[in-house]
Amino acid sequence: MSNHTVESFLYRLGNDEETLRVFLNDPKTALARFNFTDEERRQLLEWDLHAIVDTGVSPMALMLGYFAAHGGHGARDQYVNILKGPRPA
Amino acid sequence: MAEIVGGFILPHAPLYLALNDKVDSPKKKACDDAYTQTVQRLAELEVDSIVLIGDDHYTLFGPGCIPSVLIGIGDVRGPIEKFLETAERPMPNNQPLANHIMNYGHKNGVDWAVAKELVVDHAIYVPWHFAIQPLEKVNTIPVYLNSGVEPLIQNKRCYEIGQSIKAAVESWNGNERVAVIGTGGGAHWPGLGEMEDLNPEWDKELLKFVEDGEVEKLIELPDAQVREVGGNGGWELKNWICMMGALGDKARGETYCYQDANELFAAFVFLQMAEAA
Repeated sequence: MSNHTVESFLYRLGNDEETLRVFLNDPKTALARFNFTDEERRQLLEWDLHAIVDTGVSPMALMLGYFAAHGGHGARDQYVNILKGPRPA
Repeated sequence: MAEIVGGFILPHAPLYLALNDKVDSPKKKACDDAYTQTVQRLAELEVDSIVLIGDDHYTLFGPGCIPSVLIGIGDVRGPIEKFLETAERPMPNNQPLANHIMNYGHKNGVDWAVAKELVVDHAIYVPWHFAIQPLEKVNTIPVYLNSGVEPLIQNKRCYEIGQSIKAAVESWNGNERVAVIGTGGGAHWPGLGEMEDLNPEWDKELLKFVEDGEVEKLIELPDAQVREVGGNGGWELKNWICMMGALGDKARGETYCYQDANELFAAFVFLQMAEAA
């Protein structure tokens, strides 16, 4: 698992307007620009936060990337609730 | 001769700034009072320069370059985070002393990464905003340790960097009165499912080590164990270790305020070091 690539992508979501714009308009196209495995692509498309944390990605990069893709820090409760909730089946 | 006249641990929780006028609670009020008291304590020490030690939260340094240890030697501004809803402003630096600390380190085993300009994040900005900005003519030298994003700087190295800061200050030909402040720490889990949890028992166990001057007990804590018990935010004890290295072996801590404020999703540590009698 290239968790460095996932971490880089998440960082860009939070800091690169072009990456964020493309991701919000067409997630698959945005992800195609990175060298992800199929599993990594799935995790990001589905925002499978439990699985992404398990890969060892920086939790702060994950949180900030998620916030960027979900309208900002107002997504905090949603983010916490996902991580406190059950893992996807 | 310049000298280090004080050392502190101060909190840097971002929501204390972002929600400052929105949260009204006894614990918040206690933190307000502790920041006021910190300003008074720094004034009583007649501090004119402060080495302020924080860590990046993946808001300054991206995956393209993650420095283990960095010093700001030029213009400094902050904060960088928009969610703090605080206008970016200049933060006066002591550039000659910052350059000297850098040069001393480079000649004596600390390969500082260097920022010739720096826009700081909440780790440096929040304590500056509440404890240093109210003081007149006090300059701030920002130091970033990588205690937030893996691969982490090692605890022992943080202590050695603190020792280098002390030796550099004491070899400087100015007359500065310097305080060293380690920021953050206490159990917290930014970005993880436990991010609204606290662990005051663990915090107080660590603070006892600082109060007793037992820095070696902090140094020997494995990063994996810290993450398990105190979260990835607990790694910020590295900032404390660096401060303790700069204060020397005779320094002991006095915790003058500790608040586990769930309403602000953080524990708040206010501690001052003093030389043992």
